[in-house]
Amino acid sequence: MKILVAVIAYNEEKNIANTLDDLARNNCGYDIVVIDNGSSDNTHGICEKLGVPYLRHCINTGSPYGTVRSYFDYAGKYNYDIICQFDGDGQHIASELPKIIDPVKNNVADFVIGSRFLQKKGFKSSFLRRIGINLFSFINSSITGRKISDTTSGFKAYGKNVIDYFYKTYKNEIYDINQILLLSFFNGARIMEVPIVMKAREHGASEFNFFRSAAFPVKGLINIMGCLLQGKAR
Amino acid sequence: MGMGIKLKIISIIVTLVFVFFVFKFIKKSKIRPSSAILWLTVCAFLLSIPVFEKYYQFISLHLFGMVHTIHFIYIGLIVFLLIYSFYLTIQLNKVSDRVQFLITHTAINEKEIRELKKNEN
Repeated sequence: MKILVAVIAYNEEKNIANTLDDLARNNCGYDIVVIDNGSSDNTHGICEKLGVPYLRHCINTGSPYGTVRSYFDYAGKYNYDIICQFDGDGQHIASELPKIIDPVKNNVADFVIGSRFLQKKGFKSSFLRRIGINLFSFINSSITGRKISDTTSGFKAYGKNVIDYFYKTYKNEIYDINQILLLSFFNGARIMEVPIVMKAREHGASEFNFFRSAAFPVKGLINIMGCLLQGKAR
Repeated sequence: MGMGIKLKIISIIVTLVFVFFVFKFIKKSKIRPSSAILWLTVCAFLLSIPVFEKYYQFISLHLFGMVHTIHFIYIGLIVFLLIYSFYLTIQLNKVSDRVQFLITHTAINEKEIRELKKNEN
């Protein structure tokens, strides 16, 4: 079974080496690719130096979701069976990867979310962002009929049918975290959450500043409505 | 009620200034001539208002029941702009889809070229 870990990075020159080192020390036989979302720093240079394959976006896609399109297309093209999304900011822990990979490997789920909120350990998120997270989790749980506590988690694993759907069928722009979840669900993906622990980032700032965090619930709600319409049209 | 002479003059001047800018941007290749057709049509419509005012008054009053022709024209222009904004939103989303696709596939191709070059060396 071919497994890919896609490390998402944007201006992570201070974090990426530690992240890749953690992945190398805890590698259970998966390939790694760094998706550099048009960084203006030396993120790609560090990957080159460490001999880790990377995709370098010629420009920043304006949101982190452009990287999702890249790893789905990359995984589809190279025929991977499972993809894991892993943040390059050092917040995710490589030894936790089997927790999200195993349910897909064992054919129990097609879309596994590593949730920060199922156990009371580790870094959670800013207050403003948690409002949006709780709101989306409630709505997405109602739609999917599955308890989802951490819709926005960047620690996820996708199975073959989700990869194929986004690689072969859904060719439009990927622009929202709820869109990926709901379109996968409408396409028949079995969704599951597992508890994971996350760390706070050591260096740099998140792409989500105050204004983005404030706009996040509003944009998300509209996107959920759009996905429901798309899902009904299927 | 018709347009006053002052309003007619202002309307013609504004339209001519608009025509000037449309031609200027075509000359500088900032607007495709095919895109400019739409704006030149709008200019022709704006110029026709003071010239064919009586016809607009007739349409406004007898077809739409509006006493003030100017309201009829405003509503017509607002409807046109709404439709055009909606069309532009669709076009913008299409462009956005394509940009994301191009960024992704450029990155994948660039990685393959990089690896081929490494293997050659």
